[in-house]
Amino acid sequence: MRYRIAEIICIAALAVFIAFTVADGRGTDKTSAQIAAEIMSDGMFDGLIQRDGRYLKNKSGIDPEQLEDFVFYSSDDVMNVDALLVIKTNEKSDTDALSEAAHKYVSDAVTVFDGYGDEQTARLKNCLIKQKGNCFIFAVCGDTEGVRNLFEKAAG
Amino acid sequence: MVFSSLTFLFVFLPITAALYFLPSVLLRPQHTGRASSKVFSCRLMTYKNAVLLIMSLFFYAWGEPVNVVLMLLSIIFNFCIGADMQRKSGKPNVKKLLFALSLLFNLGTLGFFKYSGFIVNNINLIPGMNIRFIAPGLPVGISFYTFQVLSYVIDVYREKVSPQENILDFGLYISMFPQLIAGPIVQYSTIEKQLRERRETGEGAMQGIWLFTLGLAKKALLANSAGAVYTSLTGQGFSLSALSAWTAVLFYTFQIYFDFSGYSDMARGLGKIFGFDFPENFSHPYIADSITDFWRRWHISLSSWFRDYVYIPLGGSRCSPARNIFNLFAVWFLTGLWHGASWSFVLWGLYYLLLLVLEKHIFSAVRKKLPVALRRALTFVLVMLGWVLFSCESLSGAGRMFASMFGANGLTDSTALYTVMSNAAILVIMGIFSTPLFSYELHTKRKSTRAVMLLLSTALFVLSVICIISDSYNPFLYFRF
Repeated sequence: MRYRIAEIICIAALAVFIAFTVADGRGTDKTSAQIAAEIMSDGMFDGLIQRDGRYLKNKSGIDPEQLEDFVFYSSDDVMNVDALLVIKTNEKSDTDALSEAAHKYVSDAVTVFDGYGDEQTARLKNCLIKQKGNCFIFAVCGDTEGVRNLFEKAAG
Repeated sequence: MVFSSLTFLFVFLPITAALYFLPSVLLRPQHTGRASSKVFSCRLMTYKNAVLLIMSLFFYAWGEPVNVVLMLLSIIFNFCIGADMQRKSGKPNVKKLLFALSLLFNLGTLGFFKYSGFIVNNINLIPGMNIRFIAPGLPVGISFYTFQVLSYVIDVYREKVSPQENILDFGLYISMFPQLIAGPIVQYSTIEKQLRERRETGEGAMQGIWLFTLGLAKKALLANSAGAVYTSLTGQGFSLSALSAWTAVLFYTFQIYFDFSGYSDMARGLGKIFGFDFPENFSHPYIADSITDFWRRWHISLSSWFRDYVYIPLGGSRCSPARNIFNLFAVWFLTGLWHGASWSFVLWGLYYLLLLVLEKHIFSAVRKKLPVALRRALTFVLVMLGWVLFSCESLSGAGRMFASMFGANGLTDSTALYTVMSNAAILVIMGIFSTPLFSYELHTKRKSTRAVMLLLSTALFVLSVICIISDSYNPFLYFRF
C-alpha cells in the first residue's frame, strides 16, 4: 500500500512540476524587433547598423534559421564594440547555445583588443548576456544595468 | 557541470574522491572476526554509495537545480514500481498495468521535455493551426537516464533481474555522475552486482586515471581544435566552396568522435576509480568496413539498448524480410528521434536504415569483393555524409551543405586551401588517434609501464588544462541529448 501511495504522490508531483514548467515558459508575444525598439528608445544604441542573418552567422556562428526571429545591431567602426542582439528562440533550451555563442563572441573580440583597447575590452567584459523565457539578449554598451532593466520590462 | 571544466577537475572531483576514500583509509574494522568485517564492509559500502549519490545529485543540480526534482521523482517512482511489480507477480494483469504506468511516466516525461515543442511545431504546420507554446528547457541527460530507468523496469517486468531493495543503491544507479549526462547507457543487469560488491584497487584507480586523462585529452586537445576549425569554416556564411564544405564536414566528423568518445572514456575512467566497470561505448568506429560494423563500434551502449529492448522484442531478423525491414525502420526512426526532436535527426536515422538495407540485401555480394581499405574509405565517406544531417539540424541547412559539397558554389577557394594547409598536422594526428594504432588499454602489472602511464597521464592532464584555460571554445556536443 505504501508503494502505491508513493507512486500516486510521484505522479501528482510530476503533474505539478510540468504545470509550473509550462507556466514558467510562457513567453511574450512581442517580436525581437519590438523588444529591441523599446530598449533602443533612449538612444543608447544610436549609430549602430542593423545586420542580416548572414552577418550574424559569420560573426557569432548562430544560425538564424534556428531562431523564431532576431535583430542584430553593430557598428561599422572597428573601434566601436557596441552591439545589441535580441533573439526569440523556438525552444527555451536553445538559449543555452546562444549564451555560449555570445561568450565566444566576447572572448574573440577581447583577444582582438588585447593590449591596446582598454576601453573596448572593459566594455566587452561588462556586456549583458541574459535570457527570459525564450527571449535572449546580448548587449555591449555603456549602461549595461539600464539595458538589463529595459529588457526585463520589454520581455516581461 | 562538464568533466572538462576547471570546477569539475579541481573542486568537485577532489572533494568527491576525498569523501569517498577517506573512511577506507582512516577506519579499519575493530574486530578481526569474519562477521564483524562483513558488517563493516557493508556499512562502508552504504557510506560510499551515499557519498556518490549526494555528490551526483549536486553535480546534476549545478546547471539547473530545479531538474533535480524531476530526477528524484523518477528515482522514487521507479523504485516503488519495481518493488510493486514483484509483489504483484502472481497477478499478471496488475503487474502489466503497473508496467504500463511506468512506461507512461518515463516516456511521458521524456516526451514532454524533449518532444513537446517539436510536436506542437508540426501541428502548427497544419493550415489554420496556431498553438502558442514554448518548449521547456531540456533537462540535461534526460535521454540517458530515462533509458537506464527503462532498462530497469523492463528487466524487472520480464523477471530478468530482481527489483532493487535499497533506494539509495537504486538512486545511485540512476544518478551516478560519471555516466549521468552523456552515458554510456548502463543497463541495470550490467551493474546490479557492482552497486554492492565492488572493490576499488590501486590498479583499477591507475587504469581509471589513465582512461580519464586520455578522454580529457581527446576532448580538450583534439575535439576542441577540430570544432574550432569547423565553426570558423561554417561561420563564413552559406556559400561554401566544395573544398571548404568537405573540410568542414571532415573536421566535424573528428570533432564529434573525439568529443563523445572522450567523454565516454572519462566516464569509464571515473567509474574505474570508484570501482565500477562501465561497458565500452566506442571501439574505433572510423576503421569500420561497413555500416553494420560502424554501428557495432559507435555509441555501443545505445545500439545495445535498442537491440535488446526494441529490435529483438519486435522479432529481430528471425522473420520475413518485410517484417525485418519494419523492425529496422522502428529502430532507426527511434534512434534518430532519440538524438533530437527534429526531422533532420529522424532523416539521419532513416539514412542509416537505407544504408543498412542496401548493404544487407542488395550490395552484400559486391561489397565482399572490394578490398578492405576501399570498404573502410567508403564507409567513412558515408558516415561523413550522415554527419551533415546531424550537424545542420535543419533540413534546409543540410540541403545547402550538401549542395556546397557537390560544387554548387565552386570547387575551391583560398580560405579552404589555407585551412587545409594550416591544419594538416592536426588532421593527421586525429586520423592516427581514431585508429587502434595506439592501444589505450595498457597493462598495469609491470612497474615500468605504470611509471610511463603516470608520466604520460600527468603530461596530458597538464596540456589539457592549459588548453581549457586558454581556449574559450569548450562545447560538448552530446550534452544536449
